[in-house]
Amino acid sequence: MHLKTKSKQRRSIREWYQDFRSTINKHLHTLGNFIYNQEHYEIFGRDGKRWSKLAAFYFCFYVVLGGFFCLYLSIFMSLLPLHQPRYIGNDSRLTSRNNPLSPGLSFRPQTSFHLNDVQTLISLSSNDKENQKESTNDKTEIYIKNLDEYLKVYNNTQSSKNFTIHDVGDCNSINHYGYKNGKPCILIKINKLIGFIPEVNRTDVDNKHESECIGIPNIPVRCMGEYLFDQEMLGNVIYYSESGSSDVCGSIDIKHFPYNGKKNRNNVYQAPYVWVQFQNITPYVLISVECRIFAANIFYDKIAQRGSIRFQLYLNKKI
Amino acid sequence: MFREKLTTRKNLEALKHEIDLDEHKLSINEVYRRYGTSPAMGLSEERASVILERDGPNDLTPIRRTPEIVRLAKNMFGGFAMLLWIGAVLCFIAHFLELYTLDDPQYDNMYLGIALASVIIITGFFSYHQQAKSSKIMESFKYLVPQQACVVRHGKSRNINPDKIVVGDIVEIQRGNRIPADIRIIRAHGLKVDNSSLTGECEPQVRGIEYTNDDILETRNLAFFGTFAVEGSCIGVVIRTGDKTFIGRIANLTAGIERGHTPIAVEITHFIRIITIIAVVVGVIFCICSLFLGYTYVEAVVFLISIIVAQVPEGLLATVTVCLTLTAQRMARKNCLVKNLEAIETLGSTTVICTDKTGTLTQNQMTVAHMWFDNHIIDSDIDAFHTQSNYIKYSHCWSALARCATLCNTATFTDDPNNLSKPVLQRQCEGDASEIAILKCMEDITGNVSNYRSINSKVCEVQFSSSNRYQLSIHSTDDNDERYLLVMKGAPEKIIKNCSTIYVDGCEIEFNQFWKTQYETAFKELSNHGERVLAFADYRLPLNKYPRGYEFDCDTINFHVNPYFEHFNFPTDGLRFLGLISLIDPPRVNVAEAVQKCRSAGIRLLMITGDHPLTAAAIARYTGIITDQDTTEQLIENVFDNNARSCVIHGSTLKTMNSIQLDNLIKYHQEIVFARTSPQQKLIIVETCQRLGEIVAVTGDGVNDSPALKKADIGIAMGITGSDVSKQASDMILLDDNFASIITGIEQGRIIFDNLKKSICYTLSSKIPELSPFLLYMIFQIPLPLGTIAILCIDLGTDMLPAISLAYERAESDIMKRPPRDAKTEHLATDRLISMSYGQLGMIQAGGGFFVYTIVMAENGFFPSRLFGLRKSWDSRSINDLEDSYGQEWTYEQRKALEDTCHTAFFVTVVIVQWTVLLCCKSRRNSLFRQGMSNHVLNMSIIFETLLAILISYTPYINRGLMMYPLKLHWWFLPLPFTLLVLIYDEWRKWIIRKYPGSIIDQETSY
Repeated sequence: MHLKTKSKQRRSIREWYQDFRSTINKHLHTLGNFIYNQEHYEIFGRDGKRWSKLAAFYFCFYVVLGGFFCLYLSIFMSLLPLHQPRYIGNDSRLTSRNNPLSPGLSFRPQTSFHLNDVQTLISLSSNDKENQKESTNDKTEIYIKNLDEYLKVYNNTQSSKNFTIHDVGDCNSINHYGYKNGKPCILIKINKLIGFIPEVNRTDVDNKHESECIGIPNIPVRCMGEYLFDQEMLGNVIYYSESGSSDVCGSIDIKHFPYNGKKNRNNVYQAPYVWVQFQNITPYVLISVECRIFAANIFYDKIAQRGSIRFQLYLNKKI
Repeated sequence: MFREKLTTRKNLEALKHEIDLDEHKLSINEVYRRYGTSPAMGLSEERASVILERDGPNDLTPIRRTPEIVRLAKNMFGGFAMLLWIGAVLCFIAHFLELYTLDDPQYDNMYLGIALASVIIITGFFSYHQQAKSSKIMESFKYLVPQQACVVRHGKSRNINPDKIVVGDIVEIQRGNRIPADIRIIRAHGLKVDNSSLTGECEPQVRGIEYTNDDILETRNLAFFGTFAVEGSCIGVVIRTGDKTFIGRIANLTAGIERGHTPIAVEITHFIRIITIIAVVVGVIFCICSLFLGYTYVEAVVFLISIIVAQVPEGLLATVTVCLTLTAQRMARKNCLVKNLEAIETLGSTTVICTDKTGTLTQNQMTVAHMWFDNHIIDSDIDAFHTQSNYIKYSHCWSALARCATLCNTATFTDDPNNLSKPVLQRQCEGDASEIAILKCMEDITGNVSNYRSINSKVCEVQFSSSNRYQLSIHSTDDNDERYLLVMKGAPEKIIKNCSTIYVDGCEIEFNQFWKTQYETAFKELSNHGERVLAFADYRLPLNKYPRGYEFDCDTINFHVNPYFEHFNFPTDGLRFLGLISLIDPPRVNVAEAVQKCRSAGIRLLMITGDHPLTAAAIARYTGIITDQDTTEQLIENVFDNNARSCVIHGSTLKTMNSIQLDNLIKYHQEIVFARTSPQQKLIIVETCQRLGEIVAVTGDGVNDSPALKKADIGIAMGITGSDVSKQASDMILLDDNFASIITGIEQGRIIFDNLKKSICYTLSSKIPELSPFLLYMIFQIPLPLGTIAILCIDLGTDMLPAISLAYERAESDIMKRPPRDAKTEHLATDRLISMSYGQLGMIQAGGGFFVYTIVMAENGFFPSRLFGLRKSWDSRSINDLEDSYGQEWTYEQRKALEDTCHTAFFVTVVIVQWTVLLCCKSRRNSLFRQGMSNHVLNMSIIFETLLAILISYTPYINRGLMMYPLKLHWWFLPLPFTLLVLIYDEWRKWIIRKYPGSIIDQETSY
């Protein structure tokens, strides 16, 4: 009895398997037939004639559609204002619901290595040649090149509104911007926004970060360690601004504002900046630095990096 | 498990055979011997418990029901839902890949996964809820089981729980009881049973001890489990219990039948296959492209998944469900209650309707059809009567016949002033169906029957019984004739024997051979019409023999004890023959028209009835189911003639046929009437049709119909006369029992199929504008023009109502004039539909979207030339000073705000271009101007989707949650040229299709 049921079961499994196989075969056959039907010389259900007709139809269709698109687009593009976008300042998306119009800050050197994303890390090594690998050496070179590249604009002396910092300390190409001796100069600049003029602040005494800059003329810029730990590791900072050097705050003169868009771009607008040199960074520690700018109409937001910028410093070896 | 399945299948096959029962043919003593019982003593308790042990309790074994959780799971994981689940899982995989490999993961894929899962779960619960209402087949059988039963055991009668009844028990049944098992009747007193739960015929039937028919349902000496004793009482011996009873077998058969997929389910599977293939092919192509473009493997996989998932039409499942629900509601308003949503479309693709006769095609109400007197057949149609009223008024014969018909009739109107004030035909009556018919006819023609009866008072009566097949009564009349009047009514052959004269043109003449031939001709003609013929006769009892006050003795006979004893103290022969009245259950008024409509819609009609072939054929002719003019005999012979168009087949012939013969029968005959069929045969007929590839609709009302109802692609039960079981087994219920309502159903089913096509075309058209931004983002490295949340806003927000509103679209042409959809070639979604929707409408939309995206970018400072290759910098959080074409520098957050604005603009553009896409989808061939704008739901939906888009982009907090930004006013107008382009292109396309049918445009773009 037991045996009997077992054989029955086995047979039914086999039947089931055969069923399954035949259905699969049938499906495969239909699929094969669909892909290429030998009887009617059809590929995917259409013969060559029908495929070419279809292709011709779609070709015409897309040519017309594409033409329409391009025509319409070119009309609109030609209507765009030449020197500045149609929407600037508060009209543009530079102002969004949680983002009043405020320029961000940015820094140089900022580069990417290989295929990686652009980094906010500046990683240095001393010029002790024995312990250095080629690649880290390259990195320093890349930073220097990046800064050289950026500063090219400022060599154009024909510009009406020249921006020059007379006292730059180590922060020039000749001294490798301090990168070779572990005292990196970072260039901090304010984002160009058409028509934006920062207002000089009544300094907010309550803000500790800011209160340090009391007495600095124009718009103060200041870099600090992001957290207390970073601040301790950061060491001395020297600011080289247009108005002179300081070890407390840098400053940017509002006479360089506003940026006027393409009109100025033709004249090569020179965006104001501040050199920040880190004199004695604690090596082997990743230090997060936040720089801020203080103006009445620049609203600080750490996460959105409004009125501020963050970057990381890493020194490979004690110099 | 396999074995189990195999055995259940085997059992099911066994159940399909006729019930094997011969107890009605045996003598009662043989029955006692077979079951070891005696009428007086019954079984002993001991023996009963032994048998109970052997046979099991007398109740219907509940079929192992699919657990609720499994059914829920089926709704959650079946077909379309599975596609969405795969999509959701892919989303989560992509999300985790991103999470672990990218520094800055986006949460888009997770949102998409969650949205997909929610859609499936919500729609799954919705359709589960719809289904839950309709799966109570076994529960409905429970109502047929009595609460208490009275059995004789050890010579004592006692009440026991009916599940303890065993074969051989002697049961006593009182009026109002349900019969607790299948019984052979031993003794009966005026027993009438309501077999409606078995056969659907609601006329109570007389039951007695005599064996009258080979057919177990017809014979008098059997009563069945679950039927109802409406009158009288009886004692019977139990011959079958539990699942072996007639109803038990049907219940098990019904519950055991599994139905194949509905046509719409098949179509949806087909559609899913197409969509999946396209999605995977496109995904793989672009995945390979991305590898060539220098993306990493992980990125390429994430792209692959994103592209596949982006093509899943999230909203379509909900749209289809809602469209079907809406149609179901619309049909409910037209008296078609749909229980299974998918069934709606099935009705539209139905190719064969197997219809029941009684109650569906006919009114299930006996009505006087013709009369024969004075050697004339007169149509008893009331109008006809009035036109002939003069003739009738002066016909002595008529008045004699009318008097006889009025007096020899025990039916009465229910005595209730409210009831009596109604028109005659609608009044409630008490009595036998044919008597009621005659009563109503007489009331209508002569008026005030009850008054007439009271002045011609009844002295004595003999009730109709199956054995004597006549009824008579004796009256004192009001026509100043002292003699008593004997009136008699009954089966013609019976009456004719008792008559010696015939009343013609006011003269009483000898009922000679000539008149007998005349009578024969009339009788034949009437019965050939399928009518039930009754003969009427009267006799004036001679005053000398039967003076006033004579004691007529009718009680000496007791038909139920001894039917063959006929001895009265008055003569019952030598009567005067008056005429014939024929009755028919007339077809419903609009059935013929409905049948005609079915025919022109290419649907075959098969009539399957338990009735006599003659009656069935007559009704089939009346209603146009049979159009052949041949005689019924000829039609019966046609069965084996494959060239004949129509045929009538008797159940007994059907029983002898094998499956090949059956196939041929159904294949070669267009018009078939199945008469005297059993429930099992009904099932076999349905199976044969399905084997031939037909999509079968079955109508029925009795429990006996329920296996066929369940097996059919769509079972249609009757709402008024239908038994609960049949309603549970069916997919649709005709609330007014009217066949014509089926036509509405078919029409709606066909419309919904067309409209679902349009809905799909509309929904899919927004897939390209949703997918192409991602592709361009990937290949040309532009900032993403349309985000995932915006895509969800389109699919599950703005697109939903318009897609649903297409369900309200009226038919383009007369869909009832074309043949049913060919399930093999005509699909819901074809490559042409996809090509049209993706390649044409979708591309125009995408064009519009990219145009507006470009403009928004340009007006904020980023020219198209700047956008190419910008992706990496744009999406990098590290870059805080991305320069635009005018030299402004954008922080990451500012760029993202601009990107979200672009998403909003793209989204709004899709909504605006979808306006005209919706208008284009309204019709497949007709110009929009011809199709009109009368679909107000659709018009409203356009306004609604626009308002929704405004709401999403402008409402604070909502737009923040959905990552949208308010748009400048003029950006709303930018898409309008594309909107117009869609309309112009599509009108041109349809014009070409209409003007040059068969051209390349027609071949490749008409779906």
